[in-house]
Amino acid sequence: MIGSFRQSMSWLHTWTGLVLGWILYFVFVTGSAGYFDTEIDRWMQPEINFKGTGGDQAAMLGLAEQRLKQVAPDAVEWFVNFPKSREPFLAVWWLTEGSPETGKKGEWHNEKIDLDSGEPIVTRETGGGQLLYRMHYRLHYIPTLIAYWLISLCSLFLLVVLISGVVIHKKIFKDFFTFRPGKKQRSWLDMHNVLSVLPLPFHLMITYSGLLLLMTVSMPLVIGGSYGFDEEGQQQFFEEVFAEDGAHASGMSAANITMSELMPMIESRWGQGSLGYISIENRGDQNAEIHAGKKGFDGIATAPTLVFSAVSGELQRVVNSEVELALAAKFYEVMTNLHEGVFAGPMLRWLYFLSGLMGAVMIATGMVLWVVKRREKSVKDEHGSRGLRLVEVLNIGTIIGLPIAIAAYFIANRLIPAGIPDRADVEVLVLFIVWGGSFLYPLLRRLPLKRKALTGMRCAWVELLWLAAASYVFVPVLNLLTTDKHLINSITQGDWAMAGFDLTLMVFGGVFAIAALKVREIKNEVDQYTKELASNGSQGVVQ
Amino acid sequence: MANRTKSVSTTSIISRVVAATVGGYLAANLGAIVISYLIPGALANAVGVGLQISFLIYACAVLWVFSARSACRAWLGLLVPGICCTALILLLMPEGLI
Repeated sequence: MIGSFRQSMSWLHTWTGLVLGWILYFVFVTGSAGYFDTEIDRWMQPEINFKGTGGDQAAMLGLAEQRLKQVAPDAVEWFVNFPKSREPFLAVWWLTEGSPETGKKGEWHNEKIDLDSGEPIVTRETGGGQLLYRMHYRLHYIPTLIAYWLISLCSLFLLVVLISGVVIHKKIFKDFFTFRPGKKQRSWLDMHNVLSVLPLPFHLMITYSGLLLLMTVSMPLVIGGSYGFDEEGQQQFFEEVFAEDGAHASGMSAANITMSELMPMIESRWGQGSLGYISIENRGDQNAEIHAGKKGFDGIATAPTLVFSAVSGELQRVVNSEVELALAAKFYEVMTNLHEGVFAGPMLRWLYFLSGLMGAVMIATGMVLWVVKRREKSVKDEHGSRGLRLVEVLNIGTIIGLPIAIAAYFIANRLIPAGIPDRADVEVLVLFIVWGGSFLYPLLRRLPLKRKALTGMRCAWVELLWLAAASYVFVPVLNLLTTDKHLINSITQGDWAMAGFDLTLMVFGGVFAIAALKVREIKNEVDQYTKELASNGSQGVVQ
Repeated sequence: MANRTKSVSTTSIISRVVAATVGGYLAANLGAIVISYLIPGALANAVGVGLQISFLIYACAVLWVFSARSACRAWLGLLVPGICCTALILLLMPEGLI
């Protein structure tokens, strides 16, 4: 477009990166948090007591079935999830029957069961970590379909930004080891490069697999080309691809055994405490089945599963690994598993989290770089062009405002009284109000200063970074003041998910404080420089 | 780098943005459908391959649109393969689809 191929790519990289940067930053931040969704869930429901993952599973199943009989006697499916490292509590799930006439689909409900009383644990209503996780692909307050399209389009252009970034990058391997701190624009560029190049495989994988996860929504015409463009065709495709393992209901009712009756057989085969889950499908039907899955398998390798008839109690088959998948399905499976990282143990999960955050900081530094470059061309203009001011406000509001808003979400979780109507929605509302405020702040900051817009914005950078630091340190403190699930207790009990949450937030507080100090240094330098310029009116160029 | 660049007209940029987003999307769909027709074996597999390759076609189309010398060439570079794909699709389409 402009000059050489590389120059065109540079233009494309700069402008696409700028236009989509803010939304992609949101996706990366909330998506990274999503790798710890169940841990955040737990932190946001401090009513659940940590009892470890051991215990007599037969007794647990007894409690679970007793509760399910009470609360969901007519459900078509029951599912009992035994305590695991990431979810150290007993949970029951049930699927209500859909009605084919009204087209209403069955719905899943769940409860967590107290192991001592057998009663459901009453927790505060919260969106939890699931909400942050869900936001990274379906946003919030807008229709799902529009969100999917928007996210797909942004992901596609992120792929383009990544490819063009590689093209314009002459010394991709040299820059791997190059970081020149304290050199203004060069430092920002180095930081941007290091954070892009080092985790580049992750960035490419996460972007492409993200596209795949939404492909049936974003590319329906491709399915239509073979299956027809009506809803029926799409449906047929899904049935062929996602053919579910398991028998269909026969429609003939039959008496079922309980899941507990099979426990001796399962335990004699696998040993005690070996179950991950047990479920009964098509309850009350001739073809009802009980599935028992082994503990310790999530994601890529399917758990070895014993399938029993729920009528005769006979073992029907043992599912040991995935069914042999066709090429396309296999590739899809691998990519989406890599994206979700459900299989990841603690170490790998941290790596995922950090890689995602590196993506977020890559985007943030790229957007800061945009401003710094343009700023250096017009150092004397402290008012800044309209475009520069707009980008600066959006940068501040997004890059620091979003983390502050997420901290506010956690704070709201502890301060909003349990039991008020739509409590979960109020928590989210707090998140968005605080986020909105962080766009207003840099706009209004210059008023008390009686100075130019950009001066105020530099102040806003530093002050909001301090606010972020303070709010992240405040969350564990508030946790200590309002619950018994604070750091001291969780460490002594060995509840590392809870302790990890508090500790991680404190580290974040520290990182924001360091960032505030660094940015204040830059601010002071620039303030000094512009003051000198204004006083002697000399023509000056930075560096 | 920046000082050697000549400015680009707004019309050219808008034209390219439309070509990249809308044109690229259509090209990706057409290309993916052709691919799904050409892959032998199970239908669901062929469509699955087409779906997953479609994003690479889309990305390449965007890169092409912004690297072409003029907006006209950018559009042409999408139209010609697009027409070829459409012709192939009409030829290979399963009967009774529309």
